[in-house]
Amino acid sequence: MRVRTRGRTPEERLVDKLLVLYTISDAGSVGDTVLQKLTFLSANEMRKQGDKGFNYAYIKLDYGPYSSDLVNDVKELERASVITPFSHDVGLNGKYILDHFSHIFEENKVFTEKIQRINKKYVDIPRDELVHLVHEMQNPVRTWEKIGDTRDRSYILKRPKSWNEDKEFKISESDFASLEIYLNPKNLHALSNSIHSARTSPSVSLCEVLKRVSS
Amino acid sequence: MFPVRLQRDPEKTIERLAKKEKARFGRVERLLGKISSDPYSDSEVLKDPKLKGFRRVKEDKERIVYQVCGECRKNTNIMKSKQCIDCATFPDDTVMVFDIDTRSKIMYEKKHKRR
Repeated sequence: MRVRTRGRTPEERLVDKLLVLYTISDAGSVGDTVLQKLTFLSANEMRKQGDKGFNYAYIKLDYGPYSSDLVNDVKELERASVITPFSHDVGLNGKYILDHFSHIFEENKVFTEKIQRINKKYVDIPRDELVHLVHEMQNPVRTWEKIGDTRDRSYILKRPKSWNEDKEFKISESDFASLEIYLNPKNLHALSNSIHSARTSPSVSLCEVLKRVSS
Repeated sequence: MFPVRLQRDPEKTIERLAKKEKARFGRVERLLGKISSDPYSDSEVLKDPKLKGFRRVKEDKERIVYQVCGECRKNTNIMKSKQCIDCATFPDDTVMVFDIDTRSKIMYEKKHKRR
């Protein structure tokens, strides 16, 4: 019987996207494989100290740790112009977020400092060498074997199940409300379209619409 | 009660929900009722400069982004061209809804793509 693990909450998804943006802004332009390894290494560091930063779960594939949630987040960040496609550099909206929400990263230095340390250590290593290095590391879940020796598709890092509240990445409700729009391409486009259409088409009364749909 | 008006996209969202997702339609209707009785309480004011003046209210998986006309008019940074085309028609206590986001949108699309 296949057991379904719980998905990420909207708050967790937003934190992950913010941390991916921070990773890319600190590391510079990185490809998909290197980004997977850097986030895995940062997430592993955070988990070792009980910090709830990244919420990705990683399985082992040919190129080592892989998270499908990270792939989806990267696609959404590209569509929202937060990062650029292919080369994964900071995009127009990404620069805006880093400028106007820098206080969030300041308040969560515990996490950003770990990302900076990992990036400094690993970002200049060529991709294949980095993959080999990660393969030689101890599997955080099956600690008696190396990541490279782990069976394909088995978990290497799972989502954090419990943590201390003071070791959690913190965002205020009002910042969360704004970022939910900027970091989600669907929300951003919907709101932009609506604002644009407000200038060209008249609005409709809610009562009229409810009368129409109930008839 | 504050009169509520909808832009085109939220109007289409409500029509779609009323046809296909009655449960979510009920929740959105309740949330709109809440905004209509008091648009200021339980809402987050978006402080970001580009989204200045917008408010967001959420309940479970539904999120609504709106502005109160009086607040928007007090924001003296807004140039005339950025006002709604029918701005002059409504009093300050009108609530203008710009976006209704339901998480179900994604699940609805996924569900129908699988078939």
